[in-house]
Amino acid sequence: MLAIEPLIIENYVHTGKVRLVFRDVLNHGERSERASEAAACAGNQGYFWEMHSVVFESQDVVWGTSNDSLSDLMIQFGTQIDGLEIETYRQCLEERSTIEKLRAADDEQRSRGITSQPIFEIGGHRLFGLQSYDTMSAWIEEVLK
Amino acid sequence: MKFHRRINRVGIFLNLLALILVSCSGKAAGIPTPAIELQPTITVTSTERDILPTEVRTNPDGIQTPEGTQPEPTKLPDEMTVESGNFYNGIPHGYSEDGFPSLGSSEAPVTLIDYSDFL
Repeated sequence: MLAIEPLIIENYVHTGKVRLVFRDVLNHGERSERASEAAACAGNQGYFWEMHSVVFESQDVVWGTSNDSLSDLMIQFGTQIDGLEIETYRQCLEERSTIEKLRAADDEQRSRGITSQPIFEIGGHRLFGLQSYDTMSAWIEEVLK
Repeated sequence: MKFHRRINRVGIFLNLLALILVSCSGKAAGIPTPAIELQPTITVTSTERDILPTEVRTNPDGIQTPEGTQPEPTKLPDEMTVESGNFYNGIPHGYSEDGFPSLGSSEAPVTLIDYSDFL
């Protein structure tokens, strides 16, 4: 959704018509887990969406990093967020305080057929795969009626 | 006996004389004496106490704190729940009812759930 997310946010979230909820799908093993943990740990301090942006914009870097170095990379991402208490964030990552919750959510989603990504749910309608802005907008407008 | 009594009296007299000479000649002989300066007694009335500035001391960490208080420890939220009122790019954010990160008003008529990966 990265490509169309700014438009959805500008036209629907910012205007109070849509509330966007993000749910992690852990389909890429260690990389998925570490990235989701980074966002969750930043979220504990109120910086989920900042980390969401940082990680999304650094996908190539994440893919180019070995599993052993992912934790260090996520800590480095944390240093890019103004206001994030980095030691607390680091401790959260090192203790893996959020992983069980993330895995449990992923398991629950899989039991409901969420096994690929992205998948969007809008007012009970489920859309599989990347969508154009026009398609997303049409569904949102349909639900808004 | 009289002779012994006389000697005792002379001895006592000489001891007293020596003590007097020592105590009187201390300054002249350059022997330092402790400098004790008496401070005037200050009585603080309740009104004056109220307007006196709070004494500030520096603790071993170098943090200045009012006398009798300890520096506030830095409070780091453990599991901070962000309610609406916190903003990301001017948009309220928080968590959905089931605990997932959300962006936008909790009263928005449409909820868009994005099942996704960061990769």
